[in-house]
Amino acid sequence: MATEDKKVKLVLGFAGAREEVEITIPDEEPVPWDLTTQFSVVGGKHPRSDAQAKVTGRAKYTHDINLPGMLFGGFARSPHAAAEIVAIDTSAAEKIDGVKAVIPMQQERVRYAGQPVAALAATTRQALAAGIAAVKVEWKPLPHAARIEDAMREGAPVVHKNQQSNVTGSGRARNDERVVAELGSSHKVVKATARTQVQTHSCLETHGTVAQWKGDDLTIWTSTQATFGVRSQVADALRIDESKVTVLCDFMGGGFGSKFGAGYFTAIAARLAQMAGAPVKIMFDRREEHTDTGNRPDSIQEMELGVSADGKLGPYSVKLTGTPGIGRGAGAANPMIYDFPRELRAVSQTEVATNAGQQAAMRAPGHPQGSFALETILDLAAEAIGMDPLEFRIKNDSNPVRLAQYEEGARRIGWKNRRKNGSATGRLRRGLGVASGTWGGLGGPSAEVDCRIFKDGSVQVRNGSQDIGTGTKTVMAVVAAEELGLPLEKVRPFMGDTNDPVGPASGGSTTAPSIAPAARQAAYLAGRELKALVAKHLGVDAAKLLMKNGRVSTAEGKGLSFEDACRLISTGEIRARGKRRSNFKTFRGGVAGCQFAEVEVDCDYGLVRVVRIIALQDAGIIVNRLQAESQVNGGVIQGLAYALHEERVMDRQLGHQMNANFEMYKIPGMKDMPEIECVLYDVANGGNNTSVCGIGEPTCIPTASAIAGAIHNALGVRVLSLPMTPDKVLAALATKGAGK
Amino acid sequence: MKNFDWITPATAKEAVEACTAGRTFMGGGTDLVTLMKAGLVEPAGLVSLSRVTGLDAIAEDGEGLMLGARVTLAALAENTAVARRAPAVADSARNTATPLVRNRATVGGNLCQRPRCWYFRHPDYKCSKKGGDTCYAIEGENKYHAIFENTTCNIVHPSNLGPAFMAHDAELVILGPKGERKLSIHEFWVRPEEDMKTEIALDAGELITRVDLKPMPARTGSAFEEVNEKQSFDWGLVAAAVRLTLDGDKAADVRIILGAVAPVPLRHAEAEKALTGRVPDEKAALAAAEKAVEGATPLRDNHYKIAMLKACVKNAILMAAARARKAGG
Ligand SMILES: Cc1cc2nc3c(=O)[nH]c(=O)nc-3n(C[C@H](O)[C@H](O)[C@H](O)COP(=O)(O)OP(=O)(O)OC[C@H]3O[C@@H](n4cnc5c(N)ncnc54)[C@H](O)[C@@H]3O)c2cc1C
Repeated sequence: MATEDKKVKLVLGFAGAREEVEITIPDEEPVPWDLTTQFSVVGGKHPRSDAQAKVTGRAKYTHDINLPGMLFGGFARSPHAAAEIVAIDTSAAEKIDGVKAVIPMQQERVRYAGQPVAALAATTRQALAAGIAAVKVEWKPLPHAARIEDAMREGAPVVHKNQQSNVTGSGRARNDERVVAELGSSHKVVKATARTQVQTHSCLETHGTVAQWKGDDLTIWTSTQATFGVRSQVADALRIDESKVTVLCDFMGGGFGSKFGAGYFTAIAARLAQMAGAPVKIMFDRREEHTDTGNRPDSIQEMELGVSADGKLGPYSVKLTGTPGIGRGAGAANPMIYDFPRELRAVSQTEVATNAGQQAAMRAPGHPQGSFALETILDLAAEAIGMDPLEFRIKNDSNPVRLAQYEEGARRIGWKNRRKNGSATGRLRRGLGVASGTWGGLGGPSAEVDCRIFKDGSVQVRNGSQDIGTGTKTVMAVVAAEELGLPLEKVRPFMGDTNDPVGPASGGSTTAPSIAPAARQAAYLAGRELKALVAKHLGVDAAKLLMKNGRVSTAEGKGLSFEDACRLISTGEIRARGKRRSNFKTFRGGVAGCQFAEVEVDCDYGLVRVVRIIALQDAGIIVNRLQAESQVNGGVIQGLAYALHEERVMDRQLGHQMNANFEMYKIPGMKDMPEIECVLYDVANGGNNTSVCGIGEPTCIPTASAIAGAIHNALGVRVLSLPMTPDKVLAALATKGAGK
Repeated sequence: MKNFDWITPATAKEAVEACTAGRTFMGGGTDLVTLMKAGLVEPAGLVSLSRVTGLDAIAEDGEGLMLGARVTLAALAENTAVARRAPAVADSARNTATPLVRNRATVGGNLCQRPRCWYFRHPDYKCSKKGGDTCYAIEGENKYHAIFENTTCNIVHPSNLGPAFMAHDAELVILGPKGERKLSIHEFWVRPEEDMKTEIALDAGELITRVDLKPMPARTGSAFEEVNEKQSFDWGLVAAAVRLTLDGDKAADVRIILGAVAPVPLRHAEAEKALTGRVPDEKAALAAAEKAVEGATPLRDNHYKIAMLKACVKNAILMAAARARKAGG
């Protein structure tokens, strides 16, 4: 095979700013798409390939897997937020009718309410419940601190045995002295402390696994963001060969970062199944889901910002504090996005251990909380120097895509009619706000895709990682259909079986940008084989053949229909493997986005109604506009929920989560939805052969901040804490009244 | 959840006969099933009202409106006779939860539903309502709890229909093992001080079969106003039902009932007095609303309910007054 490199010229950038670059790519790589590419399938609005299966209920999620003879698995859990386990006795549980296996999960102590202490499997849910109730634990309850305020207090009970205090951190920030000095000589200095709440992932499909043994072979159905990760983690935990483990995830009901690992329950399900000699299904209930599968850490962000008279960002000091529960890592991305002078930033980070379930990566980890604080201080600074908050941002943002977005967003929301902060009167007051977001999401190796072309002209693309509802399957099919010049229906995508080619974990919005280039290359290589057959058959130069409109032919029209071409396949099928290579050097930045919000505040009740969100977002070259919009809608909705509703409430007395359900853990519904206007920017980043970039995470970053800005504009006071519920809005309004 | 018998009687009489010890009635099940799942109740059997004849009718005659106990909130919300003759009731049904819940939830079940206090609902808290010796809301997370009559127990009564029925002097028709009785809605509620274990004056095995509403006098209007953090699928933070009759242009025969702020729906005589004899305009409404929140005893996290309730009462008064002005007679 020829493996010579080829030089290609590309036009990168976006409508607002183009640049020509030359790159060298290997021969087996298709020429990357760029701004000059004429697409026939890419960029259209395609319903997802599994839409029908989903709405008709034919799609089988892990929840729907029910095998003959299957047992129900579950856990006995701690009713204490902190306790020593003096003794644990499972003998009574083992004797319960229907209980088939019990695994004590040896622990000397528990550190949060709901921590598992024993696993059981039983023939019915009732027997399981009876078994769980029969697990006898002798507890020695210990003092606890389930909320960040309680854990920070002097003399607070210490969560981790080996620590002196719950509070750990980076101590003094770099540049601290210099920043303090510069703040002293700034034109204006604004200070604020912003707070964000703990948010749970609240996946519609809870965490869970079905495990089945056939001899030494283990099959795992699991609701996961990482089929291959689960395979290796489970093999590791059970000390068996990875070759014996198959992980399946055909459909998946949301992860948002919480389903990145196998979870303790998956290996336990396999062990229980082994002990009982029957398949075992463990699905968490809603309480378990809220308390024991991760969450977005809360934050307290103390900020001081100096600005110049002409509206340039100056020295900035931020003290970040957050709780990861019993886990680690509770940072907030602050500052980001705007052009802060690098050497004038002093950021310190502190973590506070609490007796609560541990944090987990959640949709744009660190960003929504960082954004809320950062955009707050920006709005306050703009107000302090009497500058329009949008103008202030434009002055301090050099991202060319976002600068274009600011202009377009302002036009759509009617920014020029924005009134001065707090000038609205009456019961219902409207306001406008703006905020920005940034993300990477360019993806990378390793991802491989098989493209199979069958003799009858039908096509499959296959990858073994998961489509977590973001539409990756459809993205693969669109990319392959484009490459092969076929209508989308001709290409059937498959994902969610680890016996297919390797793929990434779905995190960092990298799944589509990792897989799409591999899918394109696979289709390109398979197509090349088909072209060779046609070339030989017709006696034309294979290099002259194009695949377009369902034909394999020369520009002059000499060729065959795709079906007829496929009849030339003698080997049964063409199968080519595409491999995601490292990003090309010409890659430009991550993605850029900003959102504009219009709200209406009912000042009688402190109620915020979001009227409209304009979400402007780039994500490389948009493969499927419908799905990209759906990702934007999802991000905005989750951002709105973060802004106004969601909040984990921990009881200061016994340390339980009080709202581990969907009644009191509030998720907005249809009537709470604003009009969402989604404006997508195609940016040819040149980072890979498709220029695909992830869009799942960035869109949830600026929503709450834009809403907060709009409330500020409507009322003339800032609500400094999320969620911005009526009690807080009324309190903010009361301070305004008091000040007048 | 424990196993249970499932019984589907055809008449109210059979239902009462079937509802012997350990069994309980089920309307739409929207509350009962959640209680069972939380292990708060473990009935040996459910006597479903789904096939009982006559319980799902909304009837109207010179005597007033008669609402079958199995009428759904959705039906109440859509019924034109209810909207005309008891607007507060229609408002309250329309405001409740979501279409999904309203299509299942029944009149009887709404009155008999248990409080949503998260300590009461949590299996690991033995609060005074569950035979323990404390109310965790006093020191704990009390944003959603009571601001009146809350010394021993801080639940708020969740029923929307309760305050609206009180505004219309509803009478409950109750069938029990000892026969039929009638009970004024005003006598229906039980305060924690009287009996910590229940919120309502129904004996075991008693079935509400009907709720009767007397006709409103001429030039009368009523309204129900509720404030929710979110507009789909949520519980009221505060609520108010108001009814008034116009005597000339002045308010007479005023009822002001507060919801979601105390262990039972509260009829507020002082606030009613403040409005009586005055033109029910913005100023008078506000004065009455101020009376309504006097003497509140909020907890650490629910002071906001005072301002919110005040506005809510005011708005309910203004709406009721507007309707009274429009009403014929
Ligand atoms: C998210 C959500 C929000 C909600 N918000 C509100 C709200 O804002 N306001 C509000 O009022 N409600 C609200 N509800 C509650 C809902 O209105 C009640 O659950 C419903 O009205 C109960 O009616 P049901 O027929 O389903 O009762 P069931 O669950 O069937 O029964 C409840 C209780 O009543 C008893 N019972 C039922 N019928 C009779 C009868 N005829 N005679 C004697 N006893 C009987 C049962 O034995 C049981 O103890 C909300 C519910 C949800 C899920």
